[in-house]
Amino acid sequence: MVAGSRRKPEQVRLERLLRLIAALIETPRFLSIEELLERVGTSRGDDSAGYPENGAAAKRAFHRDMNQLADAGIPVIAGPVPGQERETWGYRIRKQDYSLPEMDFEADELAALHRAATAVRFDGVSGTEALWKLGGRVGEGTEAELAAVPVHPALAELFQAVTEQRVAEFTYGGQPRSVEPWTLAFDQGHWYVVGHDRGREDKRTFRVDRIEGDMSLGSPGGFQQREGTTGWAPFQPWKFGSGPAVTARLKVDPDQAVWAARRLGQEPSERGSDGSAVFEVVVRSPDAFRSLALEFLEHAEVLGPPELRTDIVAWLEGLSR
Amino acid sequence: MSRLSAGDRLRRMLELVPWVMSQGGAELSEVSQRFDYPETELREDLVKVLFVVGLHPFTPDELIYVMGLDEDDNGGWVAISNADYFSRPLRLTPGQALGLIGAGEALLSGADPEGPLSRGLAKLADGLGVSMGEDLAVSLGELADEWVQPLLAAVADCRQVRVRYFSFGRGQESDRVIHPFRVFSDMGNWYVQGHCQQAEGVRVFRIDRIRSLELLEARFDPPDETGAPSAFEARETDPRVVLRLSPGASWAIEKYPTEDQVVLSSGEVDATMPVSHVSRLERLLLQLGSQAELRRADPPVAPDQTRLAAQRVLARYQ
Repeated sequence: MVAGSRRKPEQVRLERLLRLIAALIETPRFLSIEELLERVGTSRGDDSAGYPENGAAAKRAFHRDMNQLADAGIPVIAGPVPGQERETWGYRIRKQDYSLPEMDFEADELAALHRAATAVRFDGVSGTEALWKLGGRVGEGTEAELAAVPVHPALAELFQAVTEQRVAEFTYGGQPRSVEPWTLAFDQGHWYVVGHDRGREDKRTFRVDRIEGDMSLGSPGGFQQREGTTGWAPFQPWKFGSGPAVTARLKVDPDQAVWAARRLGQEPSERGSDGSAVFEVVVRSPDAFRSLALEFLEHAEVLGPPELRTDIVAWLEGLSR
Repeated sequence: MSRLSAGDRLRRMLELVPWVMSQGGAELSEVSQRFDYPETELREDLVKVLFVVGLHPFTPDELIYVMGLDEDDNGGWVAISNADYFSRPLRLTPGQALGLIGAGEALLSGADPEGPLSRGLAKLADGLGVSMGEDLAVSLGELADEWVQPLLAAVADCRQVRVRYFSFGRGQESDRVIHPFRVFSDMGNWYVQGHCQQAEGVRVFRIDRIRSLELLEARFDPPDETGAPSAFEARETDPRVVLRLSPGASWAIEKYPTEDQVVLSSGEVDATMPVSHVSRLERLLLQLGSQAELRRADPPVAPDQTRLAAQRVLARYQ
């Protein structure tokens, strides 16, 4: 069955890589480099897969292969080879680390995931490669991309931390943080992680692109999920702040009433006979609320409470001089 | 496709072998399509490479069996066995899991809860131990917004639409006929890009500012190349301003399109921004207050633009 023609170098290399992976999986213990070189075999010429006969060259080729395996996302682990007088490090792949859990997808489900992955592109993440693992690329995908989602280097690690309940340690605002991450959210074009900040003993929201330096993750199951803490509330900055909650009344001109309802995510509580609308808005951050009111320029007015009305009047008076 | 490297072949081979094994064999053409493996390369790699892979000492019973493909013709059927160590696909990396679940999650709000996307995503999340909506929430803006789906349909069928559109810059509504080229999301809002008959040019419209929409019978010829759309496609003719921002006001650079920024030794930033309409500039100046100073404008605006705008808004409160 093996055709007579010679193989391309990349095909010979492929055979060696596949043999190496098979040897690393099919062992109950760590194998030393020498054992692995022997199990993969020695090359008998250009068309013959295996490692060079020369020991130093063989080791160099072996380490190149290990890098190639790491690039392909293959989880090779290192550990001591048993029964050796001098401590010797070896390698293996555990099946439970390697294998995708059983998930039986129908063809229409794979096609739908394929369409989603082509419609919403995560920068730098190959959706196609993920689909191969689920059973291949099915269907045509979508012609036009709907959105590109930016990806920060810390994002994949944070996702792992959320799903495996690992504590994440990083620097934020110049301060070291130790966080139990509950939810990762993309909203208004930015990534956020919400969780329990151990140092501050409170729930905090961090913008992922403002995380400084490297991040380190604790072991899986490093914290207990707290009741009723997960999920993401749409980002409306005036709702978040350290101040007490007050209900503000914002009157908006008829022209801009529809747009205001969408911006605020709520319907007006009153309608004027001229079509103007009054919204009752829960405010915890007066600064953010002032910014919101100013988006409408002279087409909106803060009716109350008095302290918020005074605040915006004082702000405008300061700028009027 | 350019020539496949050993790594390209490896990544495909490790995923296609488990799939062919789970199916009890498959048509070569289908394997080629599913795994983006050109058919001639795939045939060669199965026959000349996979067939000779196995375990030490490589006696025939230790080699992978590749059945079918005996004839040197095109197409054919292939089955693979005696490869228990390659019987499962590789785990998704955290980045791949994030990308796939995130993409699905972003589109879920507009999808049929019994449909294939919902079913596929539920299986995926369940298999990977991810709680949808709790562990991960991805919002591109309200996909359920009433006009997103009709506009997607109009783009697909090249149908013209008539919209009543509220221009935030001008503070007024107008009727327009648009040839919609594409729908996209940026910074949490949905947009439609298309040729506007009234403006006689390509424009970008925010979908949540469309008051009403009518799908017309008339079709249009789609353009060959629309280019990557951006919500803030500044036109050459848009005025440019330079704002000096204090360090606490850097959010303005992230929120508004900025063409150039120069960090000064004081920590302040001189940001050059296109402003399509003077109200866009006024909004920014009033929100930033003393944290921004208008340094330059081309063409020039009133030097006391901030003061004039503040007085106008203040008049409402007197």
